[in-house]
Amino acid sequence: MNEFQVIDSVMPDVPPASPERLAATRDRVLSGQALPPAVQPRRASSRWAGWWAWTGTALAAAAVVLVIGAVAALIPRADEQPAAVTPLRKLQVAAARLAATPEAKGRYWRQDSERVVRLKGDGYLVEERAVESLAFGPSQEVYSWHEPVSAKPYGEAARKAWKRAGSPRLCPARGCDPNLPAYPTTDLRRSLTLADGLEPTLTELRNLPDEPGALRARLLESYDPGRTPRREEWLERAAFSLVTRVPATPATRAAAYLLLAKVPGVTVLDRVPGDFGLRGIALQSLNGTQVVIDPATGELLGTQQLPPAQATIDPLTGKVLSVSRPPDGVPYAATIVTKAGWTDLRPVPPPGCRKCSARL
Amino acid sequence: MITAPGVFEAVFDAHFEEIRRYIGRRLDLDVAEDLAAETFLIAFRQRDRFDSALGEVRPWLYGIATNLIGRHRRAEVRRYRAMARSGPPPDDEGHDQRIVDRLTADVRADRLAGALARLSPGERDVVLLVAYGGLTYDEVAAALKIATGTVASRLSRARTKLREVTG
Repeated sequence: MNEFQVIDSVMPDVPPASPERLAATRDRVLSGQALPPAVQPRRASSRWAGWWAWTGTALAAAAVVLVIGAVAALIPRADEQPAAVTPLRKLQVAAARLAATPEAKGRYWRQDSERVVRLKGDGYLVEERAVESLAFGPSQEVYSWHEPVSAKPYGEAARKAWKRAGSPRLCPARGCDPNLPAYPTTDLRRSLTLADGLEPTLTELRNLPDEPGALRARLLESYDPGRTPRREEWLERAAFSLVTRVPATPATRAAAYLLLAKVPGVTVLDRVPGDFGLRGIALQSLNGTQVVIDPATGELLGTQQLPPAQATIDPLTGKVLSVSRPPDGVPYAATIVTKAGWTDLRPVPPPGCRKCSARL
Repeated sequence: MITAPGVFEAVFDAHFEEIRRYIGRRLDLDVAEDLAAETFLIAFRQRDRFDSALGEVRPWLYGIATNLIGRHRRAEVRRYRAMARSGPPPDDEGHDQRIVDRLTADVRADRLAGALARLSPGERDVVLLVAYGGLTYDEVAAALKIATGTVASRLSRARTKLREVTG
């Protein structure tokens, strides 16, 4: 770490602007309105200012002579170039913020999401929306359900094609199947399974390490090469589960972000494509999944799915040799977290939702 | 062109928060809020003069912001000296900061503030554009309208002074 990175890390930061203030400033600036007078520092009198200006000009002229001779010797070597504020650095700051976030108290941990998928059906694009919930209770209860909400043609071209086809009813949507209005999203008894062979109890999950290296070592204690040949892929799956769908502590989730960022083939992006409303830092996997994180809090905003990349991987070292991604890298599905955290309210599955709760 | 409809809005949305943060890390936040807005107001009024062929938008904005900070140099130095005496202010997301400290370096903010106060204004501008803005040497040169060699020499001198603190 060089001096500049130390300064950036150690010196106090500022909280983000409030949305109200930001909006007011934006309106004022974009309309070109003058600002109310800010606190102005005292200025030197015009007489002294003039003296300083002339003296400054003379000194600057003299300095130019000195500097010209020195420039060639002082041009930095390539390895001295300062590091930019990289997406990884932004991720590290977001992770530190998450690690420092105190958790709310509650008897149940619950995560509510909106699931959106855009698929080409009968010749036109259809957008399916559903709500999903996953919750864990104090007596080893687990709740999970997926409830379809709507299915509509997506975009003007799709809407015209759908009308030409006679405006057929699109499913799955609310009311499409009265016998199965909602169903569990997962095998409930395996809800805490993070990867093959890694099935912690809730207590073990809550006690996972909060430092990336230690977390990696603890997770790998459960790795069995006989079951999953590629260790890093297994590790990626475990870390992905930790950050997206279980009640790990904020510090463990923060460590899992940093662990994920080092998995071969995972890239950190600070510009997330698509129009699902996910705006943040993304950890992008080779399989096209993006984990999107709020840079201000480090909390998970959601995940979205792009077409998978084609990767060439060294079979001996597991190192990614090259990656090519389809040029139209537009996400076609997303899970947008609407609420996550601890609560005292017992989750209630929707009416008609069968096998949507169980015990671990 | 930055004068095209909607482009300046995009510039504001993309860069306002980082410029505000840069100023806010150098001056008190209430002053920083005003100066960040003033930076963009100046940029808005001068947007027809910005030539993208000659440089990027970020260094241009950082340059305007740094010039405005220049009007408050004494306040900035007073702030560092106060921090050096008493540690960082209480509203600085201190817990977050302590974790970053622990993760990254065994350097205390108060000692670093003292070292920043001892830099010359030119050295401090260059160092903080690199540290907080992540600008490259060329971008700093474009922001401050100085030669890249001058940037290098200021950084070299500043690094020597800072190493006493950063190790």
